Amino acid sequence: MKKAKPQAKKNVLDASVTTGVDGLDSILSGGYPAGRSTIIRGVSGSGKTLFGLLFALCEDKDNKPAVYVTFDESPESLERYLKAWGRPNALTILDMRPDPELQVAGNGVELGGLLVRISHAVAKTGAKRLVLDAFDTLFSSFEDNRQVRLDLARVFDWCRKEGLTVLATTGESPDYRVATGLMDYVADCAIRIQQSINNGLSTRVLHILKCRGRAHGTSEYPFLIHEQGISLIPLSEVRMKIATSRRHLPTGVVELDKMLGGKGIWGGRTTMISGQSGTGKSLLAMTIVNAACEQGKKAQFFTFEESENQAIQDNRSCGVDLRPHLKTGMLEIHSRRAIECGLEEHIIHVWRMIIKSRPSVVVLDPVSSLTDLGDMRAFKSTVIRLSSLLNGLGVTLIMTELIPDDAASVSMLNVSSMVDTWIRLRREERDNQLVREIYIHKSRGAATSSDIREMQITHNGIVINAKTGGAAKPVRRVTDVSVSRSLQK
Amino acid sequence: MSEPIVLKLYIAGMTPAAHRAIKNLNDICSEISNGAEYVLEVVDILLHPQLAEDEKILATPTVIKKLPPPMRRLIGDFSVKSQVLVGLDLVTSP
Repeated sequence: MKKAKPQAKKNVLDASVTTGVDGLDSILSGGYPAGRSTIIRGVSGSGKTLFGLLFALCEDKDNKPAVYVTFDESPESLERYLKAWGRPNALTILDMRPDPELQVAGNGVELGGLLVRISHAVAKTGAKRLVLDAFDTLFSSFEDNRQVRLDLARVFDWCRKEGLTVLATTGESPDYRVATGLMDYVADCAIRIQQSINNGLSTRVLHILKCRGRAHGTSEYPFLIHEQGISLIPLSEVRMKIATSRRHLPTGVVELDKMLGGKGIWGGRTTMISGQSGTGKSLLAMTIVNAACEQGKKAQFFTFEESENQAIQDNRSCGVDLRPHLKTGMLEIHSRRAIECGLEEHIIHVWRMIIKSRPSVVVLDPVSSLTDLGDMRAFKSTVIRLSSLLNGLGVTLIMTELIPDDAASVSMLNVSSMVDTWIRLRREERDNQLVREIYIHKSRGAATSSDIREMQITHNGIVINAKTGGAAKPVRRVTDVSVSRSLQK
Repeated sequence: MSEPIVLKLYIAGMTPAAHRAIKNLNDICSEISNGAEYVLEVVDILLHPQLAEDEKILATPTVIKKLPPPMRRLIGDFSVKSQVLVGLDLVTSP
């Protein structure tokens, strides 16, 4: 007996077509199901058309352009997007906007042009992908909704037979119930987009309602629309080549290196610097960055509190001159105040900058200022994801954490589990003087010092005293001021 | 009527509605043209899909009045004469 032809038994359930959206492919275990239909529904302004365009513009195996049917937006305005992305005329656009002035005389109206024009365009271009953008417009434009549903179903059936991968978008109109019947019948994958407002900041989220025959993420995923497209949280892995080594990264402060076991912080891992305000967190972070730049390592410093100029000036007056590194491009300072946008937008911004410049050291200063922007769980999972992604790429991540004065030096983030090295800074009152102190709370796999050392901020940078007079071993866990004070005597 | 009526009817196959549309348009045209010539061209878009694309035909049957101006579009089976006359802006002789 002859066996079936190989192309007849392709496994359509497993095959995927990339969505063109950062992060969505991994949530859908690969992308939109190939040879099947996906429906995205969402209120107007939620970015549906953008999903359609990004999918349509994806590189095709056979390099065939997609057919893009628009029921709502004019082909001219779509073409404007394409031009802005440097892809003019990349798509075959079918203008199927219902004419609002079209009059009806009698009955028996069908959408006879729908399938005829689509199949004609597909045959002409050899397209394997089809976008039906805002098909719900048909329901509000033609009286006979039953007929519209029938004609649409015919299109979906035909696409399935032809093995086209379809992305159809629809609004959340009052006619939606009608469209729903259609959706359950035709779509193998359904995605819902919503807009939510938290703390006065608007966030778009998407949610996979169903995806037949495969595992998919079930949470609500925040996403961001930016000039290059759409990015999704969780951030997706990217392949990028960064020249990093897993070796230690000297901090630029000899005594601190010694405290950390002799060589500095772990390269390609995550370090947290915690302390109250004015303890020198940012300066220490910048000192490490400065040292990295001097060794020819590229660094990015994200500040959520200061402007770039402030950061340059402040560090300069403390003996850390960043200007040469900024000039050579070894260092980038990105300033965006915490309140400017939501947590997701911050993280996506950071991620995109990192992908663009591919640094080997990244600082988030202070990461704690982002906690006001969302709930703690979202914050922690986002930061953990970011740090594991960066570490996976061999990037050294340094975060600073502002500890409120009344917190008695207890970390509010409870981030111990997500960092490899944890440097703690604090202020002590001693002989009517404020004294800055530094100690290593933990450093995985390193023989760290258990000293509490005095740290000075001088015009020549951070200086850590070789050994503080009184604060000697054995070290006791310092929980409050009175204990540490008694250590001094 | 001095100017001949020129209509283009787009259908998607010979459906019952398409049959009715052709008959109804013929009846109305012959009535209002008073025995003068008129043109009713029928385009089956199943056979000529590119013509459907060129004219952006979505619904069928669609009739386009090419002459006399102004150009008009109308959909349906044209079973209601008064709607056709108004919709296509065809003035009957008094």
